[in-house]
Amino acid sequence: MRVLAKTIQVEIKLLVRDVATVLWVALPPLVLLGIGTGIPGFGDPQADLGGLRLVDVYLPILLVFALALTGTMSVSTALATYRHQGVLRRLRTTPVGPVPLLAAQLVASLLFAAVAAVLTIVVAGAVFDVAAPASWGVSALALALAAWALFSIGLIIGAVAPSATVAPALGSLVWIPLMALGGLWFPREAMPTVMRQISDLSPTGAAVDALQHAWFGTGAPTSSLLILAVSALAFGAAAIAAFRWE
Amino acid sequence: MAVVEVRELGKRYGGRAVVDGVSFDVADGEIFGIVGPNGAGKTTTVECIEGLRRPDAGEIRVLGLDPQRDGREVRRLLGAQLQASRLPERLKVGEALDWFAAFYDDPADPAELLELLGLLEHRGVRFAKLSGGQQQRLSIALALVGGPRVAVLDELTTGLDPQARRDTWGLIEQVRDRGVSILLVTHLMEEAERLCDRIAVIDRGRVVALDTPAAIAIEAGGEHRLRFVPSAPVDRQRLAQLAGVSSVEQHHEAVIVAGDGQVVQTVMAWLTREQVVAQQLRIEQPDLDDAFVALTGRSLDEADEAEVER
Repeated sequence: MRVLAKTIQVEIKLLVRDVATVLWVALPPLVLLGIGTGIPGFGDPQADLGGLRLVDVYLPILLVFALALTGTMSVSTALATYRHQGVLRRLRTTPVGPVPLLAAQLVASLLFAAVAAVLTIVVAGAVFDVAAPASWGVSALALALAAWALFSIGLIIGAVAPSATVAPALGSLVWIPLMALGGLWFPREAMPTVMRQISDLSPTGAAVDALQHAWFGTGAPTSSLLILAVSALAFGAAAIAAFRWE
Repeated sequence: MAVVEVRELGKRYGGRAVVDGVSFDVADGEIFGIVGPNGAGKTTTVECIEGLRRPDAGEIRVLGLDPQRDGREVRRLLGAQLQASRLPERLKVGEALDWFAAFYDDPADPAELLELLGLLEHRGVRFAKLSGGQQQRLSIALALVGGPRVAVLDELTTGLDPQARRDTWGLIEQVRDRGVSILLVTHLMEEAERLCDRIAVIDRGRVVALDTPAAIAIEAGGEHRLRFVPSAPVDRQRLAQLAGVSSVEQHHEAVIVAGDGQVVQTVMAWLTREQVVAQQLRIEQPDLDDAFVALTGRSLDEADEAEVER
């Protein structure tokens, strides 16, 4: 635990000192403002959305979008860079094992993702008058599990990527289908049956579903939360298995 | 007692034997050098000791432990400084040391290490902003922070200017005086001669000599040389007939006499009898560069170049 705590502390400091972190935190609310002011009718109630506005539906998607982006781009690159620069090789000569190193990456990124999420929710409330989630607890749980799963995917990409420069390219290849399944380009409600079923089982689709339920208070998203928990465990285990020092 | 034992170590890459039957012991409290040209298999050998690579043949024990089987225990007892490994660019010196200290149950005092390595005033500096010498010193500090019994230092003065190099050598001796046995990898013969109690000279994956630097230099047939300006003319022919003298040369007013290990005493005694004073006296011991040529039939520079071409 001492090793984990210390490593998390180090990772947080490194993230704070990285200019790119500001971007990862500021990007989601800025995207929200950008599309909100760019798309006509974004803030008007829509009959085919059951009286909800586009901004209401898109907020959970945007939160998941930010997590997927952080995982596939930032977490993956950080790990690949460590390996590329020989940081992992150096660590390998010490008694530390891979698990605290990976867990620290995950937890530190999670803290920054939480700040970004809260910022996005605040902007959504202040600018577009989006209501706070009906259940903060379920929302937080869904976001945390989704972050765990998606950041673990980032750790797998970071382990598989042959170099630090390839990691973000590989990340975007993974990010695009993940976000398609999450409903970024067309909402889950409008998906063909097969795609919708795949979406239900994907970490991004399950996360968006769980968040939407938590937000609008339309029942407990048990199956989606379960899928998220299984994804988190499975991708987490895969990240440990895929890890390589050199 | 040996802290590191290597027996018939073998490692092949793509069918080529990089390390081929290397054996040596590092005794407790000594500075042991692995010396040889680039590509001789030095780094591969120590990486096997550090547990970073799995040997194809032979046996390694670090304080009685197998680096492959008892990896974690070995890493607690052995500190390593690697060639070309970096730290996160934005990590500060003091943070790096505190972080690594957390990996060990009974770490050394990071503040004391920073002081020892002259990094105290740089503790708040980011890794990327450190000079090459400072990065090397931090790397040594990290190798020592676990309070190891053995420290493996790989090419630690490469890329340093002569002053920084000498400072680092002084530091290594201080570390040894604290009771840490040191396994030093270098392709600088000067470094090995200055620092090491014993060395293994490795060429093309094999140990070609193993002894104290001075013994290897002499064993390999290197010559002692003394150069002086005589206070009065001397008879060079009589000088050349002294026991153990192999050659006498004259460069302007200086006389250069070469010979075996006794040559300095013989010549000085003779000069005294002749009532001649040896002014500006300079004595050259046979060095390891000469020994390397004698042992392998080529100079260290040629061996390095051959490696580049391969």
